Amino acid sequence: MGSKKKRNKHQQNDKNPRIISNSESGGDNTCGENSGQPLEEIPKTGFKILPIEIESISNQNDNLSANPSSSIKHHPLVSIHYCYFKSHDPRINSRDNSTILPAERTLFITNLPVDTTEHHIKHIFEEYGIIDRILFHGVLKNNEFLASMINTDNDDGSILMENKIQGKKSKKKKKQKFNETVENSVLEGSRNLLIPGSTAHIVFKDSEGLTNALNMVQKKRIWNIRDQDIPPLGLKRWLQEYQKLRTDPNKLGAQVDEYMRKFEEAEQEKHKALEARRNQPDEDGFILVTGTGKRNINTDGTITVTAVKADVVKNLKPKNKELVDFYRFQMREAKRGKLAELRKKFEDDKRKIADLKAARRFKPY
Amino acid sequence: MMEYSMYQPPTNEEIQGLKETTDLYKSNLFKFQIDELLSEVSIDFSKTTSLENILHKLKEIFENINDQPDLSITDVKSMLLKKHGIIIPFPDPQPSDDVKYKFGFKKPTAFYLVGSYPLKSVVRSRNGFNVDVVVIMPKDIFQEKDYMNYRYFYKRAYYLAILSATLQDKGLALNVNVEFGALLGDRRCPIILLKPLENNSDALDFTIRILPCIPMDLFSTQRLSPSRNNIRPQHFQDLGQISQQQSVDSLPPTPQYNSAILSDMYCVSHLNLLYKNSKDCLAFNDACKLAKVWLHQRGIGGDEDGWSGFNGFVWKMLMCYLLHGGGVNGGKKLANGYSSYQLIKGTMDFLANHDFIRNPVFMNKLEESEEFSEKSFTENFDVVFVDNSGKLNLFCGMTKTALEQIQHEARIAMEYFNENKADRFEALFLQNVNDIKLRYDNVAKITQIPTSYCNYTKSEKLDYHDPFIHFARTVPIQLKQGLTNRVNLITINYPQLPTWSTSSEPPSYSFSNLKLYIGFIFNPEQSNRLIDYGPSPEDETAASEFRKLWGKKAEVRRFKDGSILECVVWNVKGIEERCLIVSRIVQYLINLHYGIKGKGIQYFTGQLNEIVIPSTNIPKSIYNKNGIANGFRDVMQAYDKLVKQFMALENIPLRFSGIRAASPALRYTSIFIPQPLTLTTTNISHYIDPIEIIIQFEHSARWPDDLVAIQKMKIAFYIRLASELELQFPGTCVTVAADNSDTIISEAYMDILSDSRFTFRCRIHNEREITLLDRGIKDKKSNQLKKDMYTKALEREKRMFVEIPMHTLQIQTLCNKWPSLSLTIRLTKRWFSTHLLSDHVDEEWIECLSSQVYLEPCPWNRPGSGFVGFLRVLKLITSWDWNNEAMIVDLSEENKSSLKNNTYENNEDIKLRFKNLRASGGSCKYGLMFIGTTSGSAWGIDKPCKVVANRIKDLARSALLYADELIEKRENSEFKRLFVTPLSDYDVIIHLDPSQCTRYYQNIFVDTQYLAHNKKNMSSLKIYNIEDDDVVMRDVKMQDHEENLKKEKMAAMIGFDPVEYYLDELRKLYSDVALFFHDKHGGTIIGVVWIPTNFTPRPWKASTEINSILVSKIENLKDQKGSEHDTNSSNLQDQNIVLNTKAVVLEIERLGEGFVTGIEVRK
Repeated sequence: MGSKKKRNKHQQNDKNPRIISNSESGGDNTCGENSGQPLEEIPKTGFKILPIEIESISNQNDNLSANPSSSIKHHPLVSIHYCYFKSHDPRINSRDNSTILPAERTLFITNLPVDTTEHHIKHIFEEYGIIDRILFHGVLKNNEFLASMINTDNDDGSILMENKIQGKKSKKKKKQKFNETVENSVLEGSRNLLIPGSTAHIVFKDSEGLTNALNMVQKKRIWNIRDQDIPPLGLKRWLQEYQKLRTDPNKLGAQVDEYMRKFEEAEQEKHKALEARRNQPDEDGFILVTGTGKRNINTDGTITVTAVKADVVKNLKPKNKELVDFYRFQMREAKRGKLAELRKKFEDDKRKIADLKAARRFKPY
Repeated sequence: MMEYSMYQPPTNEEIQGLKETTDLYKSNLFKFQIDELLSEVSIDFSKTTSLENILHKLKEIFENINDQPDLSITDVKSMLLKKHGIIIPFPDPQPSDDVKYKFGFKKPTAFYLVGSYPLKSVVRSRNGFNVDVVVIMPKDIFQEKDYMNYRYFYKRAYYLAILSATLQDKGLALNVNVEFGALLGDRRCPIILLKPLENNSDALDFTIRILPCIPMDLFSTQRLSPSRNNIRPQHFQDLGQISQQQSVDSLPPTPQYNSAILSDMYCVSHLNLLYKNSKDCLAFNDACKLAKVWLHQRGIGGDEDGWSGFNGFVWKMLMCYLLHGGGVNGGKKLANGYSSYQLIKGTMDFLANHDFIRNPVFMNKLEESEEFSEKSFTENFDVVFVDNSGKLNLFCGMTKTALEQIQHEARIAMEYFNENKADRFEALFLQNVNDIKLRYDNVAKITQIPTSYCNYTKSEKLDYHDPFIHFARTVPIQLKQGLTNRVNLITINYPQLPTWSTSSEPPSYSFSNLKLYIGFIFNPEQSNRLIDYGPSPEDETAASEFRKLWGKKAEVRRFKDGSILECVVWNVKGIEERCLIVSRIVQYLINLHYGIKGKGIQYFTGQLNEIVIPSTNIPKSIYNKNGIANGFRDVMQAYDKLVKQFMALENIPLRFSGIRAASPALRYTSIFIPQPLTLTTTNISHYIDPIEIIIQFEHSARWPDDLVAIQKMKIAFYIRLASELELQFPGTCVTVAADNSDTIISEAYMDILSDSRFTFRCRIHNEREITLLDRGIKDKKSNQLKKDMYTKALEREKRMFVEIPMHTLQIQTLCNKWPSLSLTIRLTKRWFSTHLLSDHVDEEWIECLSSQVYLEPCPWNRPGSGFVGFLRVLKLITSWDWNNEAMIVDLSEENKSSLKNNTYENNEDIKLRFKNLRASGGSCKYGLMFIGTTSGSAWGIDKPCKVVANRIKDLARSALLYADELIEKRENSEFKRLFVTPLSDYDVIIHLDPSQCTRYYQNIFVDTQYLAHNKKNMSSLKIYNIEDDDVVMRDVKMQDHEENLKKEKMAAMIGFDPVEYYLDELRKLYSDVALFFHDKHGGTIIGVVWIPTNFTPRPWKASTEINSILVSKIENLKDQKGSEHDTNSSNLQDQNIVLNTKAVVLEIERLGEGFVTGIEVRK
């Protein structure tokens, strides 16, 4: 949001994101109507409804109206976003050990806006207590082919597993939306997006924070905050991403070399382990027979010669040397077969015509 | 049970039935289809009672008609006008009021039903069907010399007027509407048309035509032989003058006039002949019906056809001829025992291949008669087919050009009849071929017919009184002289004269606002020729002829081979202009010889070309149009050069085994012709389209057995190649783009700005990856997640590295073979993209679709211009049965070349794949516009989705309608409107800032003010700290060169398109919520359509994957308008949620910060 700074110049400094604007100012908005009253609840679920007022950025930046094209477009300038929260219920996820998400000071919030960052959360919740950490579930991945997504072992992937279990439980259609859980919504200086309706766990420093948050009252809460620490969205973000792909080749090369070195080491290890197991009887005295699985390939660059594959050999059959038109019964069978084929074709064609007719294909005009 | 019946012993009939179809018909399928078609077009003779009633009453009326006394012309005129309000339909030239002969009327001597109705070979056409009634006029109202000077026709017109007066008086009883028409569009022979009135709600839609005829022996046929003159000019004022000194013998013959009288005389004899033949030959009528359907579909002989001189009747006569002769060595071509299929095929074969010009056809040759000798016919008619009397040329109205067109159609039909690999029934009989915008490669529309021009001499005027007719007959000859072998066919199209009411003046062609369409079918090898060679100037007669044809354009030039020739040279720039040479010739010649120009002639071909050329207002620094003249040659050469450089590259660990093109730019199908960047033009603000290429290294065992490691190795290779390329080929800039995360397949590539100033995006293909992915999928140990990811990755790899390069090669070959294919594809792509469908169809899909129009052009022949090619693609979109059939495109043309049937099996594979696809995913989720290729690729699997597929069809349909309208009435310039998309169907429209859209210069209605803005805005971001001035380089020294190159490399943001990033984000986030529509070629809006399921309330859940709002909250908002029944909303409803559209709209806005100027919520 680099250029925001510039735009902000003429705006008053009292719009400091840390200061929550006064409830009286939002008299005409629904979220401000019943200020002072406890939050509404969704019946039977225990979830509280947290309305947040969202302002259009073009509304905030009046200088955009200098652009004549923008003045003719009408769209909602203010809207209410609804988040829902309640205290974290450890029963939902038995795998969570309480050290990661201690029940007594963890808040579970759902239906976050896609551009939520820790700054946004802190902006709304920090007045109730100091936030220890925030776990976002459902961060949009840029690449859907990350090896880590399938290679994760279960040692640190407990929360990731939660996602998977949920997915299976609800029999959701598996879509391209690959998401993961991260503790910080900002990684390496670029902004992560959340998939719509995603959730987060907010862990307060102490249980008091959770209690305070759960007892929060209705008042105007705004979403649009300006903070230099929040990486930008939109054009600037894309420029960054474009640029990120084109890093210094030397640096990139070094990274790659490092990876390859590690990889080769690992390969060596594996190979050694394999070698070690070869011809070594196990405790029952059996020897595991292993093969390298590599067939020798001779090549001069164009022609490659190699041993035949096992499944090809399996399918080789001896040639059929039987005469087919020797006995009278064979001839008879052949004739019968031919007739049947003719009839079949006739029937097939008839069916085809019926289909075409059904599709009203014979109307020439 | 079924099995048993299959093997039952057959009965004799069954054997015969089974055998018959293969012997007598092409196949079972063909026979069935013929049967179905015949039952569809035949008339139900059990429902004709009301028609029969009218015919009986007609007969009664005619038998009781009163005779009229002989009167002078002025008397009959006024009598009919005053008493009956009828204007006698005298033909032009109108009789003068001082003619001495009298007009009389006596009741008809006979009354016959003729034509196809009594023969029971009548078929329904688009306008119902005709029932022809012949009324024989008595001899005594005519005089011996009446065949001369239109006297017969004047008397005939009077007779007709009396008949119509009687019918009008008795019309109430008949319940019909009486009108005049012109038989076969010939004004000399008016007829009465009786149409049942509206309230007569009979299922049959018929017209009764009353044709007055005369007995065969009324006039001496000798006098009406083709070489006789029967119009003496001195009798007609407007023809005057030629005559004075001329004797009768030296007057020009009037064959058309003579034939018109003769055909009235032989009407009944023809009926008898046809009747006899239809009795002898069982399938005669069915064959005629089929032929008529075939003719109708081609617009031959119907009301739309004012000129060809061919119709169902002539077809029947031709069949009669062939049943008695016309075969090899004087044998019969057809036999009475033939099936309808054999009859029509045989006749078609004759029609297609017989040389009517050299070997005129005589059903009966009067050898002894000099008057009706072969010579007499051939000298006076273009085409000759003489009837059974030996005196009447049934092809009298036909010109050579018309014959060519019919033979052209017949030849195509023969191809279809002989086609073994595909069923062509539909193309033969079911498709409407007669669509002017789709049928011809180019169409010229002439709206001003000149009344005098040099070819229209006085003597021509005798036989062709209406200049329109003469113009239509001669203009193709003139054009053919100029176009020579550039075109294979020139056709004339205009409708027949409309019918007119009995009380109005008869219309004439010249004064009835008729439009004349000239269609051209190109000879693709010659149509774009730059020079027309003429004769040597020494050959004076030929040279003067040539100069007369070309006027000022003709010049004498000396050619490389030393010859000096008369010639015409066409100067053009670029391939698009080259395609317009034919149009220039036509317009030039028509202006030169007929004086038609400006609004008088419209030519439909190049109107769309501007769509694929960036606007002229665009600064050269953004798109340099200088190179356009070279077409794709520059980019191809640059590619070849790069390949050579790759091959010559030293000091790299592995050699290259192949470099393949994988980009539209290298298969002639990118909308814009790629242009080199000039050094000064490189600035970050404009999109540079990278040209994708694939490189492959020779086989090596050293690649790791791990997908992630392979990706890393590739990156290492990119870095190495980049530095080597820059080092070994100065002037080349390479940027490596790689995301260093651990992925199984990677997005990494390098962008090469080659020394020929083109940008290539180069990716390494390693076969090992595909093997490893395959192994991963088949591995029993992998879990579903891994399998899914691997399957997807494999699909992508195969597409990117195998299918697209192969596709590129195939399309490249096709575009070389058929030059107009390139333009067709580019126009089609532009069409899809301007209708905001860029993201919903693959470019390759569009290319396959467009190629299909060339590979399977039936029922037309292959398009010869981008204009018609594009329209045919639209037609294909609307006419193809996407729901039930897989479109199989034979890009490699295997079906044609290979004798083996293995491609057929391949086709079956594709069909099976299509079936499975359609069955999977429930109701029509996948493969809604499926295209498979014979080489095994499949396109259109997961997109477009159902909504989009329907939209594509709707848009194509309305585009075709609009094109019709344009060709019919509008001005040329409005063709661009085909590319303006309606926005009314979008729920939300996101407006983007044009000055931030890097591709904005490609916009179809570009406004250059934004282009200037662009530069400023982007550089103000100061991401690169490069001042524009730094990039501008003139007179660079070599030392600076390196430095500048570096800057250039930094500055040129190859392939940077913010809209793409934006859309990618939107699609990833909101694919369940909305569909996004955008024109990637410079569009500045994104259309959004909410997916309706998001508005059906569903119970609240902790995780829903949509931005939700409680239904009760919405009603709260609605309260302002007036509270609804929220009091009785139950607890359950309180928990229901729907999509919070307002919040989503604002999210969308925030995501596009600095880029979105406004969002318009429409619904």
